[in-house]
Amino acid sequence: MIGFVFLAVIALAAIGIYAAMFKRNLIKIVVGINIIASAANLFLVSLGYREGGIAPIFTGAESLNMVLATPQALTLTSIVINLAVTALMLSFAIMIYRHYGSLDALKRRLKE
Amino acid sequence: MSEIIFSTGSVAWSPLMLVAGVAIAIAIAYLVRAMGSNNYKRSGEQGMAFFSGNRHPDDGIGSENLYWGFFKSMEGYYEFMKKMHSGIVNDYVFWFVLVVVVLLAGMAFGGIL
Amino acid sequence: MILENAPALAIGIPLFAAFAVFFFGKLGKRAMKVWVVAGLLAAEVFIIWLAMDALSGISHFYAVGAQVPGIISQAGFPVRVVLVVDAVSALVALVAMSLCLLAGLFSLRFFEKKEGGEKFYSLLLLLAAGITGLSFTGDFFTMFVFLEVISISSAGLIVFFREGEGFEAGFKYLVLLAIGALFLLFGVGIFYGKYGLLNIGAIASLVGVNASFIDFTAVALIASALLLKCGSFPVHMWKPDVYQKASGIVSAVLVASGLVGIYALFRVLFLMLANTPLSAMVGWVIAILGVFSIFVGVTMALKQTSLKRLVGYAAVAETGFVLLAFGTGLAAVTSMDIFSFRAVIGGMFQLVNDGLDLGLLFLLIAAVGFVTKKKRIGEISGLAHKSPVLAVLFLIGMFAISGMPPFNGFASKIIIYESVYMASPVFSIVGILGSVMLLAIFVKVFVAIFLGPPYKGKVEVLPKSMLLVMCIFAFFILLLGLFPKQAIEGVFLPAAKALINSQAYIGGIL
Repeated sequence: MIGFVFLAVIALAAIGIYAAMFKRNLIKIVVGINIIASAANLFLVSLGYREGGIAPIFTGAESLNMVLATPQALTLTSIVINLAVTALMLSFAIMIYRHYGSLDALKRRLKE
Repeated sequence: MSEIIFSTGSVAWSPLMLVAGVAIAIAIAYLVRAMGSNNYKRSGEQGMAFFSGNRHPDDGIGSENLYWGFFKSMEGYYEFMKKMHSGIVNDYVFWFVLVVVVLLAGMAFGGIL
Repeated sequence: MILENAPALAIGIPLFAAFAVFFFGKLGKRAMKVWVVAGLLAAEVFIIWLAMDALSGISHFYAVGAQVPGIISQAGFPVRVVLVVDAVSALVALVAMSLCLLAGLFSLRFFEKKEGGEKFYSLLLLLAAGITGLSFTGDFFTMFVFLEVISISSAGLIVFFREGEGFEAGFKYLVLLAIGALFLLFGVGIFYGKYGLLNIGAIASLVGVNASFIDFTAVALIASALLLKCGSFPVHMWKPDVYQKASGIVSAVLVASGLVGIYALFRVLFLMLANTPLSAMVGWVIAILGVFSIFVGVTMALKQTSLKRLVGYAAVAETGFVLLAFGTGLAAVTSMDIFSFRAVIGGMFQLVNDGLDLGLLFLLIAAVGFVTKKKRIGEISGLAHKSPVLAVLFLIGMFAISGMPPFNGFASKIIIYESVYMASPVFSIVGILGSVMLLAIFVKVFVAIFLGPPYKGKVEVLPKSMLLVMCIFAFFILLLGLFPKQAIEGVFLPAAKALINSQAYIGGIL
């Protein structure tokens, strides 16, 4: 069933939001954001699907019925951006561990 | 004159007239001050701030104590605000997801109706 | 030939300069500073040229990478990424790039004795490129990309001095903005799935024809992500943390990114919701969020002991004023009566004043920290005896931000008070209360830092470049305050008309 992909997207996004909202370990929050990013990428790629289409490569193509290529470009951009953001967040988590001694989100000093 | 009068719907005022008025007031205040006596010593008793007869504190008065009455009367509100601005990331994400849910519910159901 | 490509060059020059700074850093500190100022100044010149055109009515629509950049839609819909320079986006880009340029000039002496200058300037130029890109973009996916560029580079700038608490602020900021940008990507994906287009103007023209449940879901996701970016009430908590831990220079540029976030939010909302019955509801919701932002920002600011955190909460309140004004304008966009139009003009004026006042205050705090080498507000007092110039500048900034005549805050705020009174008197009352409490907060700060017995520590001489930059801010504050009528007719009226008029935007694209 075609619509199954979108159910998977919603499930992944829900898992990611749950991890970001309820987990106390900073690394788990970063993993949660990564899961939301995977959901967004899956959503983008699945938007371009056409029934019976093949990969959108022109050289040596058997037929001209291809899936859309634009969402694949958008997904690549999104993957690279999320890579940069995840790397930056993880480096911040390392430095927080070095200065505070723990990775707990409840042990914060900036409040009110 | 209408070049320098700024009028909104129901108010009209001219900034340059205000500046002129303030300048005149400052000039009058300066004239009054110049008519005073100038045997005033900066140091010693005459130069210190007045504390209604109490002892002068050594390290100065903090300005945190300025609005005590306001804080005391709004204590309940400030307790709630302290809980809201807890500083924990998870609470911040919760508020964002709440905004998304409220806007989605409002827009999607408002669009259907 | 060069001027034809001005929109792309205004984004591309700081981007290129950001990567070439490392090369110039090897040649010496002087060469690096000259390169940074040259890069920012070149972009500023292009934006000033574009703004002069746009504010007199000529909008530029630029297709990136086309042979003839002026032709946008040959097949009935735009094919390439389109950069839109009309009155309001040129004004916002001008304010943002001017803030970046002035902050860059200010920071030249700040890094005399510190290491790592080239990394700071690289991030600053990247942030300037991202902010300009977000204000010129006409394409949803480019909006996502530039949003992420802004969040990454500003997160790097926030943690620049490597204190533990700075990393905590940067982590919270980046987590929130990453989640927000991903929700924006969901909304963009929904629009792409339904229409096959990514261009804002083209989608707006199709949404106007038959809007449905799916469109409004996408607009809700995009709007909430941009509300997070500009820092309105329920999601404003990152603002005080970030403004507290970033250096004063970085905070001034972050104010600019907040302003561009507000512009992007209302650009999308005015275009998408122009002919639908939802504009009233969304406008009211945003106006109510603005009122709450004013109240929460001001009351929390009264309690703070850290100076930059206090100004951060005041920034939340100032953003609340702009949201209130634009929300009132959005609520009546279908039947634009004179008061709603005035609300949009007031919001536009307040946006520019926001940048000027908060920029001046943050740079002043950085200057005070530089001059006394102390970090906490409790340790400084009586500074007015040693450096009266800083005291006068702080007075100007304080009166401007709390809406005292004859400064620019008064002119914009009185337009806002009057026009939102028609929507609901409570908004006007909370607005006036907020302004008065802002004055109360800053009087407390002024008395704490500048008045009292003379400061006993050593006070360094303020460098001339820093003083010049702050005087430029004060000059524009006074200029906009003393001649508000000319400023409104020349600058803010065309910008407000361009924001409301969705037909002009769509007509330029298609």
